[in-house]
Amino acid sequence: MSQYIALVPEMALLALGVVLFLYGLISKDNKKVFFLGILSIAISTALALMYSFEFSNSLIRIDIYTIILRLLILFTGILILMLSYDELTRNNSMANEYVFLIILALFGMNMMIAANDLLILYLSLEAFSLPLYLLAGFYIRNKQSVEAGLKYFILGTVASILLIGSIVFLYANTGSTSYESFAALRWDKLSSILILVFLLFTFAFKLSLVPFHAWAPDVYQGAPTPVTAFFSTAPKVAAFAVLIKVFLVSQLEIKPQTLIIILSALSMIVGNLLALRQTNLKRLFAYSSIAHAGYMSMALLLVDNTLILSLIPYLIAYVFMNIGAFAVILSISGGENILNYRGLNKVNSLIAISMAIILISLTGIPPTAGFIVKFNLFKNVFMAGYQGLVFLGLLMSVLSAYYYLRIVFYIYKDVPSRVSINKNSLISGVALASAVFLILSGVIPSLLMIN
Amino acid sequence: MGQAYLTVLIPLIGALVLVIVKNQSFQRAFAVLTSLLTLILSLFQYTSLDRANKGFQLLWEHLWIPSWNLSISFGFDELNAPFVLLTSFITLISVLLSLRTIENNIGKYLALLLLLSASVNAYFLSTNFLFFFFFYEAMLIPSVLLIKLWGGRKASEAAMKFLIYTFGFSIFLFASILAVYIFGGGFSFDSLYNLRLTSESKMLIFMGFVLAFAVKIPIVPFHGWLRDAYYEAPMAITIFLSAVLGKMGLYGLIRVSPAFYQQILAYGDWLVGLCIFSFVYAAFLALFERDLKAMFAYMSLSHVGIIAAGVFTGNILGFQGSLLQSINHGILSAAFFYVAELLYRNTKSFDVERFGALSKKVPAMTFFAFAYLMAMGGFPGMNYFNGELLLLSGIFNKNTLLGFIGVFGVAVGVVYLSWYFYRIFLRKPGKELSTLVRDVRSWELVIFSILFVLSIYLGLNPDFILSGVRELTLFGGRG
Repeated sequence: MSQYIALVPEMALLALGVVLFLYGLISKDNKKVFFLGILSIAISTALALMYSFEFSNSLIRIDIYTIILRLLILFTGILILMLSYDELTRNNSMANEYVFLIILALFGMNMMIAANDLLILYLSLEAFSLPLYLLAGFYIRNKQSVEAGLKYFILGTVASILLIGSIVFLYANTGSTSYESFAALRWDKLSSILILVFLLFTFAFKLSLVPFHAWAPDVYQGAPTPVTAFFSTAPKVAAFAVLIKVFLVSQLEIKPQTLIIILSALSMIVGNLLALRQTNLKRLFAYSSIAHAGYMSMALLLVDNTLILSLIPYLIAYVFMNIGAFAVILSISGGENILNYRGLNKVNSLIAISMAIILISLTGIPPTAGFIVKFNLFKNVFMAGYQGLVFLGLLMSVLSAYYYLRIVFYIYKDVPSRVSINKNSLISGVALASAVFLILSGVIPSLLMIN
Repeated sequence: MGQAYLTVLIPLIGALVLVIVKNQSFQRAFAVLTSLLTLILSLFQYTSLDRANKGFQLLWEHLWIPSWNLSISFGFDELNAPFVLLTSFITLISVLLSLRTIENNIGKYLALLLLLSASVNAYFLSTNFLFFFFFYEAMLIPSVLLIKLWGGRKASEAAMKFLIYTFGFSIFLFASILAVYIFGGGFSFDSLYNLRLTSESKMLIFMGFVLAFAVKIPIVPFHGWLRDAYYEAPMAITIFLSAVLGKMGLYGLIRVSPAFYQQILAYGDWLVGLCIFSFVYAAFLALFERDLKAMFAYMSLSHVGIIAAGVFTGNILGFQGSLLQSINHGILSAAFFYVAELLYRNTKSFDVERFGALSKKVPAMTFFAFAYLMAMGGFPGMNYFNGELLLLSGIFNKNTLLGFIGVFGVAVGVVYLSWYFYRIFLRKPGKELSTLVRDVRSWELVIFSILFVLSIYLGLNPDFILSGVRELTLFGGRG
């Protein structure tokens, strides 16, 4: 079987994206372009479902979890386009470019998680990073947005250089750039260790793990809100997918445990502590996603199947929690400011309860999906013998209760509210659907717990 | 009569219906109906239990997470059945009281209250540690919202404090449960009872449980949340907090302590000492308090201290005493807070100094208040006497000195109770607020009478609660 068949969903996505872009240049009908964009991603999703078989050669390797995460990323793309629809078609003439960039980024991410070779990895990393830089600075009249794009670009380049360094060292040591050549490395040499360290740092940057997190708050705040929702979900899924593959498939003899522990512990501490005093919700979610990346990177300490079994449910729940939260932020005018949530319950109790459920799930209180996945992850890491780290994680989750539930308290505050709701059923639908999913999978965890 | 899950399901369905249907008079009636139904059901379940049987009865199981081979399961045994009965009973009283006191958004309020009741019942009924923990945390959401939204002026702060304390210390519970899962091979209670570990590691696990439950009960010095949460919550919720939520911690202790027999034998003196200190310290706090609600809050804190001490004595007397007294304390603290509510209703004040000479004006209330006071003071023939006797004998068996301190604490308890009664009902001249107080009337008279009858019934027939616990079944009867 040829590798082209295995990559049909990605190929189709790219082709449809290019055709759509050309069509959009001619027709200038923003609404139609958005609809067709969602349709293209949906077609790719359907193809990914149809062509969901395992495959591997020297360049491409598609495993069962690659298939799941590929679907998750595509699904995220659909949700993001639904969230952006209102904002982009209303006051921006560049909707066509926006849709194209999103599709390009999705293509890059899916290629990246399918890669079995560091060169493919590098190419696809760039293929999704470049659209993301542009998306961050998409509102060219808004200085914050442009600053965000520029900041992300400069720091992102550093990450790319680190990855190149890793590739060069691997090639110098083994004469190959395939993941399989990790097995041939001799670990007593410094350059072998550096390969792993550089690789880890590259993705620590994409995951905004401390100390590579400096870009996250500014970029999250400056970028358009739907793009922030995109940043906080899809690239993280992709980055974790790559790390899973490197750590699992290449069957490393050693793992940079100490490094992972340091990155994870620092992210949990810094993310949660700095989130405490934030009043801008987009900034708060930047720190919160740093913290969640910290929890999730604990899973990288695990070996064999438990790594997948603890990380993938967490990623799925995390995507829904973040997208739901950003949907709520979008559906409230001035939703970035925490004070605008006061008395939200009186204005729209459906959005209020959705946000409450999402925040409770982010904290990890039952009966929500957040509890199940966190429990699952912490249990597995605890059993692997990292009790101290788990305890730190628990302590930090307790801290996170303060800043998440503060918003819930604001929502149910008994004050007259002047909040106005954007009347867009698409966005509030996404928020409500996420909340329902989180509750459902909290009560029936078999929805999340894959075998 | 009915599987165990019904006790959880009925209030849950009730809560759902209350969210959907908006008609207020229907909501009120339906909430009462639901809680009454739950009470009748749990009474039937309680009486149908086979007290000689040591395993879980009326067991209901459903496979929950197949990949962990984990079932959701509810069942009754001799330890949790009294607590479920207490929860259903207190829920009914809280609902009835709320109909009087809550003015805005009563539908949502009642829905949350029923939700709280359902999750507390589920906590008591869980037959494995995962759900035990699941509902231990799940019950936080409704209770925090109830305190915050319908509470007094500083309710937000109080709710946050309650949340952070409970959620924060629950990580110790989580760690202990994980340790049981890893070393015992499962989440079931049996895997704790069968745990084979060195006594140091068992001690660590035990400390995890004790820390988490000590906050929930609470025991001094883990009581930082108590005064604010009890004081700021609306009275019906205060009743629920003190009568039921505190018992969640005590039930947890009663449930896990048989597994840690060696640890209790070795370190029990210290733990009993801490609990007795909590008992006496809180009694003094209550003694110097002039605010009725705060005083009863401290009284509650004081009594749960000695109840917890009973568990740590490691003998059957103390163990039986804790179980019995948990129920007795639930009934009587509800009664005391209810009296405080009646004094507050028209006067809007809890200040003891502004009442006086009520005995002539409100004879029925005086009668009941005095009856409850007699019961709480340990008058023979009423319910507290049996529990106190068992607890004190247990403590004396463990350590004579601590027993004496315990008796001293009981004496302080009688002192503040009598002073409260003297100041409010007997002392002359009548202060300005006394003229506003109304006597107990209509269905509230029924509630007061039921509480009174119950305290006499349990005083004469403590076997109703204790018949299942004849001897200390160490390690769940498998040691």
